[in-house]
Amino acid sequence: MPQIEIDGLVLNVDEDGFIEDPTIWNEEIAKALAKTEGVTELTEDHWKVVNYIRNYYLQYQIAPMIRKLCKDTGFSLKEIYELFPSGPAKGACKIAGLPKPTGCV
Amino acid sequence: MKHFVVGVLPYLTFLILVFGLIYRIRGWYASKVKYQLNLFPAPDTPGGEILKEILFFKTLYRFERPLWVMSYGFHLGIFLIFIGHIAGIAFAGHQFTLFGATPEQSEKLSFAFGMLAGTLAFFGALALLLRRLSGQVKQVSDPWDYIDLLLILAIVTTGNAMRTLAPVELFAVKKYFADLFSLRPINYELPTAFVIHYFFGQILLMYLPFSKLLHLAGGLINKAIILTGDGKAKLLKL
Amino acid sequence: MNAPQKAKDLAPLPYRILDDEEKVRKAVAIIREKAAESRMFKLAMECCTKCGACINACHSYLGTEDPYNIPTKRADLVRSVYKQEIMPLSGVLGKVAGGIGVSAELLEKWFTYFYQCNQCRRCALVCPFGIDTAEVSIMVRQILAELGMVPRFTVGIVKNMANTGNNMGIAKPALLDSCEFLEEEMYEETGIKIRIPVDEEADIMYVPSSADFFVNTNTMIGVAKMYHAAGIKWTIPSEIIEAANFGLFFDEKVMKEHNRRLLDCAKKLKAKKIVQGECGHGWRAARMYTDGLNGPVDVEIRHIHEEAAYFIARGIIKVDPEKNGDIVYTYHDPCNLARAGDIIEEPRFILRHVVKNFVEMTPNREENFCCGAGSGLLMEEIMETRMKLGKVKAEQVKKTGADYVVAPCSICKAQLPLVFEYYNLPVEMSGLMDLVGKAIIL
Ligand code: HEM
Repeated sequence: MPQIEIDGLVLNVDEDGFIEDPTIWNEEIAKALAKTEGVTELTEDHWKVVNYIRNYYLQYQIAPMIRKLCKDTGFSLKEIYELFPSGPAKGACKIAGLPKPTGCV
Repeated sequence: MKHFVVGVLPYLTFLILVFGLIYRIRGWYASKVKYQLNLFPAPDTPGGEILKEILFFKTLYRFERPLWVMSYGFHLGIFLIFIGHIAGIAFAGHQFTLFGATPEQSEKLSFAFGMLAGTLAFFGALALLLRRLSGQVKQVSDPWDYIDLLLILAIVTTGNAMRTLAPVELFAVKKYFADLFSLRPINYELPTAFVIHYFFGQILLMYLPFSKLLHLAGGLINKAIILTGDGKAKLLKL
Repeated sequence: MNAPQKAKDLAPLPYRILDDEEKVRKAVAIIREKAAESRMFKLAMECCTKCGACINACHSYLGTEDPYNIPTKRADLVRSVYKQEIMPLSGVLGKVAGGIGVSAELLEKWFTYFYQCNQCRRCALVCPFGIDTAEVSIMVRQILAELGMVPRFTVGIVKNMANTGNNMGIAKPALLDSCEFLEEEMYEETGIKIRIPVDEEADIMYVPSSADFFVNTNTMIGVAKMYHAAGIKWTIPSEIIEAANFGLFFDEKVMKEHNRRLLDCAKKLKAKKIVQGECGHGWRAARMYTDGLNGPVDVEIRHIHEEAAYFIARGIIKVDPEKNGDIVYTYHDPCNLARAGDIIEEPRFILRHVVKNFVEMTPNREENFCCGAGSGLLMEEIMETRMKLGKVKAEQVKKTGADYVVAPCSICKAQLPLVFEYYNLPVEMSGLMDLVGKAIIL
């Protein structure tokens, strides 16, 4: 299993760089993962999105619909891409410690 | 050697050709078409489409026009040669007397059709060979693809030679086949040009069932799978 | 050589990872078995004349310029083994015919190149004999699966499908939450209570693509509005909110199991008609394979575009093309919908009613080129290849000058925006039901 080390934190990740065990997620891990997605600093806006996705996942074991994410966080899709350059499915979900959304996406 | 080619090999050729064909075609029908694999839009009459494919090489005409010109010329030549061999030998050049020509006129016509067929097949095969030697098609060719064409070219060239440079008496050939078919011994000499041509021809026939030349059967069977509709009605005719 | 990552664990597929020696030992027997099973595969192995008509018909070759992506040369990767080991008289003719034996490296090459084939069937269209390299590709991927070689991505999808009944892995509570949210959205927009009924008994069982509950939400909304306007009772089955049947691409057992699940759900919900959503290959699997897999069946199987075209033609729903604005739309024929699925004129009929400006791209209909992700080539790790596979599509779209591409297939919907971005095309993209939803008069 691949491992990555960011700022002294060693993480087991899958081949896409998503953490292998979503339950171990915490803010430190989020900060570390953010670096791998070109997000150098997690601002309040970032946290709003990340926490929303995280809580949705804890409730439903899946990422929220992009449309719902936008509506409930108040960010447009464009703004989300500005926050997470690799997009909501790849970037934001990864930082929120979800497994990679798969299927026809 | 000469005797083997004219007296023994033909029977072998015949057996190999017939059993080869049966063996291969039975093999295809032993495997199944489990699902509906046709392409759309499905033609109303698949049989008619197959006929267009045989008569006109419709798909090639639609998508690969330059290849169609070469291929159609080549195959038309082969087809005329095939018909010409049966009629020309059976009637020793006098087949057109059936349509009211005099024997001399018939021989001339027979010669003219032979020229046409031989030229089409020769230049067709040559064009296909040159095409195969150039760029893109070369990338997808293996040795056999060249051998097929060279073999056909050899047959066509020796055939053309017999019509022009080293004429062969058709009556003698007719007699030979009559003897061959009635299993009489062949204890006389035949012209060398004929024997060479005949040898290559038999190689082709023996090799045909085991090679891509069987596309004339397999290709059409495959095309039929693609063309046959699934018979399901549309909700709305558009 | 840009190959997908292989799965290290194949569960729930009934195969296991083999070592090289075992793979090589088993390969020929499996090829022989497949040839005995499928006439089309056998004919493809035995009857190609190498005429080369497929060379420039294949977007995979045109985009990658790799000769192994020429359909007949791709097929040669396995045909060469077939000639050497299986073809009658192979002992005598095999070597000269370019025959070679199986080796571990060859199997890797199969894995690379048969996962650069989108199984779009354009080669079958242009081949004088209809030789279908997509069929060869399906068979070779099956052989590879039996030898334990399956992309990690694909196994992930099979796993989700087995656990939840859809590729994304959406469980019922999440589905209900999503439907409720979309109902609220529609209410906000229209002031009308439009429902997305889940697991209710109804004549029509609509099978969406699970991606419609993640990214392509407007497709789902379009369908809901349409059935609402038509006044027809319908439902979606939580146990299979997935039109896509990835089994078609690589494994018959997976395909059969998915299809059976579909039919079981229809029975459970007492549906008379299964309506497939915007998914190309899923439509092909349902329409063309159901009889062979689990048939004969008495349930009618339709595509959502057949339904929409019918409703529009009969005046059952009313649409206003003004609502989709003045921009120019073009239509991308998903391969499995058009060539392989007979949904060719319906989308055009619908488009002409729901938008004002529609232009065709060239070539179109059954001659159209693939988006470059067909057959499930959505793996992130082969992005570079995917962009090459999408090159011809990008050129086609560019030539139309259109502002908006309509692509009613979830795989196309996932691939095309990336292609457009990569080739700097400022065009928008969505499904077709999305536009029906916008144009519909409620
Ligand atoms: C119904 C009968 C036949 C049909 C529909 C047919 C059709 C075709 C087509 C469509 C091609 C591919 C285009 C090309 O490369 O020329 C082809 C190739 C070929 N055919 Fe036929 N064919 C038939 C019979 C024959 C026969 C009887 C022969 C000779 C024994 C023959 C010899 C060849 C050869 C040698 C090629 C390969 C040409 C090349 O290397 O480019 N065909 N045929």
